[in-house]
Amino acid sequence: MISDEKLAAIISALPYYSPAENFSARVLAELGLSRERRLALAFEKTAVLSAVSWTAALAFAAALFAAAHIGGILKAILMPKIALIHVKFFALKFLMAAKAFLDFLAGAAGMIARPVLRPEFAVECALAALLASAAIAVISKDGRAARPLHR
Amino acid sequence: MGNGDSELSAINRCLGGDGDAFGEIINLHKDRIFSFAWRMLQNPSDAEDIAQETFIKAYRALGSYKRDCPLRPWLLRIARNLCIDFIRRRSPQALSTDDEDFPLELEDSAPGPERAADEKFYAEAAEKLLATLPPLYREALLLQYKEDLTIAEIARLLDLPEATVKTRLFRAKALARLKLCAEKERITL
Repeated sequence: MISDEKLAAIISALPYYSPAENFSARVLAELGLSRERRLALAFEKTAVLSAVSWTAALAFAAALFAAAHIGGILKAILMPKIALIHVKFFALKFLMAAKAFLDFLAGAAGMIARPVLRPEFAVECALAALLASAAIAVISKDGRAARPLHR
Repeated sequence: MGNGDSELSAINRCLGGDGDAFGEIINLHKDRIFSFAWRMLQNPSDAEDIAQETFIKAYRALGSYKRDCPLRPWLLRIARNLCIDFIRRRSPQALSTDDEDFPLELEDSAPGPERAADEKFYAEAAEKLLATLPPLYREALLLQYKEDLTIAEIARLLDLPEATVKTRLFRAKALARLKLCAEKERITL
């Protein structure tokens, strides 16, 4: 007759088997925990939140505009010819603002590119950097600022 | 850090929303859960489905898991319940423990002189023995001997009184011995 110990030994000696290699990945994908799925979810979340916040901001701006120009809007509804003049006026204002913004961008780009295009500015920049470094060295000479907070 | 500590840390990280941590838990336990399901269902494809379902259920119920208890019996409990539901759906009479419903002979074992060697015989016969035992006896033997669980742990896992577990184990062992002896006699004849 087989003893309890023998039976225990026989069963405990049975091997463990492994599931398919992609088992963990499949479970994680099923739960929406895989890296790709999490990235996709984060992207979707960001896109939806951005769309919602931009819509809210635009709605708020539109409501403010409507409240400030309620008279004009009513007039535009009642007299479409005047409305057309208003539309032209706002379009002109928008174009002027866009031109100003583009001019600003062009100016900034020019300032950044200047030392590269004209070498004398590069020398000026280098001299300014040297002077600034010397000033910082003189000011921090007593070392108070460089002392550690705790020994 | 011990295995239990790393497991607990993985559970905490998982509850904190770290998806990679659940991957660690799966990798720690997948072989045991899959092997248990395979031996219960006798089919690797069904076993893989059950193992997958076990981890999905475990993840969704992780919030209710008591962290002072070991994770393995908890996972085995989920796997066991899924296996029993699966067997019940497939053939309800399979959950019977009437010895008459299960043949004494082990299936597909051609006699041969080399099989008479004890160790080899038992190693080969063990899987077949489990396959021919009633599922309720099979799970009791697997949980006690393969998963090293105590009677109290098995009783908690099966939701049964300890006395019932002891009786079931006693009958399972008696039937297993009978089957193994019958097979050994058949081969050595």
